[in-house]
Amino acid sequence: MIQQLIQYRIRVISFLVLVTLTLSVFWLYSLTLSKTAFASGILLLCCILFLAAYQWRKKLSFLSLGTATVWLQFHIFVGLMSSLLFLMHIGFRVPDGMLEFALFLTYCFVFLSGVLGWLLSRIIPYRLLSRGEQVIYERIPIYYRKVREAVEQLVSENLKTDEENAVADFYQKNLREFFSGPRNQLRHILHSRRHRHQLTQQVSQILPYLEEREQEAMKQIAVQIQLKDDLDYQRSLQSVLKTWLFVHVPLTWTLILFALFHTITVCAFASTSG
Amino acid sequence: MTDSLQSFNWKDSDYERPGNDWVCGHKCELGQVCRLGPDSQGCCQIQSRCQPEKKGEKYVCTRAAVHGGKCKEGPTEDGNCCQSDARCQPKRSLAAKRRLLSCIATAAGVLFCLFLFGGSSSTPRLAPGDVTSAHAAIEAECQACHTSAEGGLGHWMHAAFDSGAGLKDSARCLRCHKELGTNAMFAHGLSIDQLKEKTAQLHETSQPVETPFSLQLAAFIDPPDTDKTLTCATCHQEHHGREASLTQLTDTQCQSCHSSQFASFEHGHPGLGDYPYKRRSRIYFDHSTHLKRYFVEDEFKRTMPAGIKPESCRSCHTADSSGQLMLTGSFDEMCASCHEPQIKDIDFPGVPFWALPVISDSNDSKSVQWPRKTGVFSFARLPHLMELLLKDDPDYQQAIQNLGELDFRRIQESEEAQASMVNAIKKLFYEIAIDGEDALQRRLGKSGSVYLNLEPSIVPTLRQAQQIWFPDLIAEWEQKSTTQNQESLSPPEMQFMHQRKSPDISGGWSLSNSDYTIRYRPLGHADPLIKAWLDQAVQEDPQFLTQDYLWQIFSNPTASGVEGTTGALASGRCLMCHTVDRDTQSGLAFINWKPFQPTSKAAKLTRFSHAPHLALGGRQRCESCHTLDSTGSDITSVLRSQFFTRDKAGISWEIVDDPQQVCTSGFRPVNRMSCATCHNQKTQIQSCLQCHQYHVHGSGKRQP
Repeated sequence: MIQQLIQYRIRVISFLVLVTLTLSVFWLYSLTLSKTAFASGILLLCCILFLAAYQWRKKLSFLSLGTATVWLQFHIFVGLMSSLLFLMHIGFRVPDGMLEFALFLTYCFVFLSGVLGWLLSRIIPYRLLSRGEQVIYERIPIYYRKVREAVEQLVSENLKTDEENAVADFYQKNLREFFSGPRNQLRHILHSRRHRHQLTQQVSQILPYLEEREQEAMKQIAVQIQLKDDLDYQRSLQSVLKTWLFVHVPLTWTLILFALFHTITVCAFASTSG
Repeated sequence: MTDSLQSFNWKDSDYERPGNDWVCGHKCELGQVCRLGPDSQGCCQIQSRCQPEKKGEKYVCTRAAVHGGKCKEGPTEDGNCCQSDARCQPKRSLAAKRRLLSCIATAAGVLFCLFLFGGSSSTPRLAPGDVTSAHAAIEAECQACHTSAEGGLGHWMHAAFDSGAGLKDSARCLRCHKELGTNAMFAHGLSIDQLKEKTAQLHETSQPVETPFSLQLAAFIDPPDTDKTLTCATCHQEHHGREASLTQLTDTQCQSCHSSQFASFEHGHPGLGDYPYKRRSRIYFDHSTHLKRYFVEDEFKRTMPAGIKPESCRSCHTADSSGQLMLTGSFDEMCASCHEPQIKDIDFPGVPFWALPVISDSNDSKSVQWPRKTGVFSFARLPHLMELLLKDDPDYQQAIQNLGELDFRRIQESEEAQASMVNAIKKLFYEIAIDGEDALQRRLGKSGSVYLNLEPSIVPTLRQAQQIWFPDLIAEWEQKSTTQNQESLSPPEMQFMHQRKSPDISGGWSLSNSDYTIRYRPLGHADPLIKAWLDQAVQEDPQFLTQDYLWQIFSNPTASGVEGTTGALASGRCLMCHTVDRDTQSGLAFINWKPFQPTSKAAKLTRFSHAPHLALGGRQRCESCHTLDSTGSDITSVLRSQFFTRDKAGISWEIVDDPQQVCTSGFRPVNRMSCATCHNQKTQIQSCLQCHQYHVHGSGKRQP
């Protein structure tokens, strides 16, 4: 733990030193009336290509290119550095041109989605550990089915005459919808347990009116409710971890395209503009 | 405690492939495990139904073992499979959806780029921003500034790798900005040699100061190279909006190329040297004497314009329309009341343009008809105008040859010279009497003389002199040349001229019978003849200029060559106030007849405007910056040391026309620290561009 903290501090200090050095060199470079925009632009393009290469590194896992963890650390480090270069490149103001503005917006979305993903990947795993079983995202529908079948089994075991079907009625009225698929995604993301509390209360309220055998079945159903709710929780948070990439990855390609097009136009036209 | 949902037993656990494009539909929707899953095309591989095969009279099930094997029920009698269709509709995996979205985003990006590249709207879509309002008129014409704009993408790529593209584009800037001259691509618009010269001058005059640390580091990162060409975009960067500044540079950036670097104007800026008195003033004016004596003492009050003494500098100096320069009032407004009488100077006999030498009768011949036979001829040579007129005359040439070592004061010692000279001068008088101006044109024109067309003309006075000094000349000359049959001249003005035998106090030409000279005295300030004569004379080679008698007189403290007679250095003579300069390009000297004109376009890196300094509610007075130098000595000696020097022989005065000569205008150079009282760190008005313009041919706005 202490070693991790030391490593973390070393990373932060290294980053700050690098930022200071970069800013200083660019400021000194600007004093000589050299085109700092060219220098920052070239570095920025290299950064963007390196950041995009992280995806390829994951695809080419059979090649010995360093561990994904190291790549991720560099990805975050270079990503943060790129924001500094980007701000210097645009001169700390929103560009006016159509292409430049599109490039600006694209970069902002990619960067901010990246930062968001970074934060999510720091926060969500801890939350996933806090509730329920760690399940593979793709298998969650199977587990939903398992839980639903288990509950339906309990309900069918407690079927009596037509007049007295308290458990079945309760299931039909309050639990069928809940067990039929993923529920309460937003509440789980917001870390709310109100729905779970409500269901538990409903179960508690009906228990005194049930026979002993039905009570036993209802207690087991309550356990399945918790299990299902934990699955919902896992699914919701894992979905968030996967959804931010739907912004980050596609826009990365648009960003690279715009950046290359911008580079060509700038190299051809920038002799009379800054 | 419940059992674990997840099992990693190889029998019970499928191998998940989230990277695949398709996922089983039943698995997603119903949670049913599918061991086969969809194929790569997104088709369900479950084949619950078969195509029954007819064997004899019966249909048999053909379902493969991989799909569950033959069913118990078997096909129906009409040959249909008994199983229901259990196939699913596979769904795209998350990875596939991301890939699809990436393709859509990329395609949208390509379309957007094509949209930008295409079209021909009034405002180019590719422009990275608006140009400044100064260039707004040509905003739609990219090729006006960009060579790349003349072609397509291929041309762009070529331009992108063309190291000279910047200079080519800069050349387009110069299509409109012609005022920047031929060296616009070099630092400050100066040639490399000029820049080195200026740098050397600066090093001579400035004290070494400590270079700021930031500039030391900057030079280490990117050493400056002032010998290379610079593109306009080095300093002027367009497409940053209508109101953007094209000259936004920091002081540190300005200094990055300079060999002498300092912290600020207040700290370390080189002294102003002799600014603004670098050059000799066009008009010499002794401020010290005027301010301390003439404008103070009451005895001079009556001679002042309208009898009012000037109260401040602005009585004589007023700002020009731009407020930049303080102009001097005209002679008539400022000087005439005191100095016009001195110029007219009725005691001054005038400059001799014509003089008859003393010719004595020879011992062995009859008497020569010549008006001046006694007395002393006080000039070693004939006046310059006479020399010019006689130059091509054979008799004159003979006379000069006969004189040899002698000069005209001792011409009596050579009878041959006397005889030839008499003939030459009489012939000249005769021609002028007969042909007038034409004779002058004929004689002067041969040598292409610059002294033609001087006004007022000397001809009427010469004719009068002929009538008085050589009354029988025409008859005598007609006897000599029988081939000629000319009528004698009887000009209408003759009677009038007979009476003019004394100098004319109103100025102009005068005839003197006492020393047989024709003299000219200035009519007043800016006398046209003297002015024109001096303008021509000053352009001659200095070697020959000293031989110009008129020049000698006008550049001689003793104007007539006789000690005690006032000349150019007497107050009121032309060169008393008007300085002489030499054109650095043509090498010709010229007289500064007029004070500094604001139209003068000298290449300057420094600018100053008086207006804002004088508009500080009277707080700023001229004397705050322009302090009188109390070390001024006797004006004549000062003038002599500055404008004239004796020639090697010590006989005549030579003009000193060195433009670099320090001008003793009577003021001390402006002190930098007096500027720093207002232009300092506290007021924040001490940027380089406040007083300096980058281009020597500045096109920017004038600033204080």
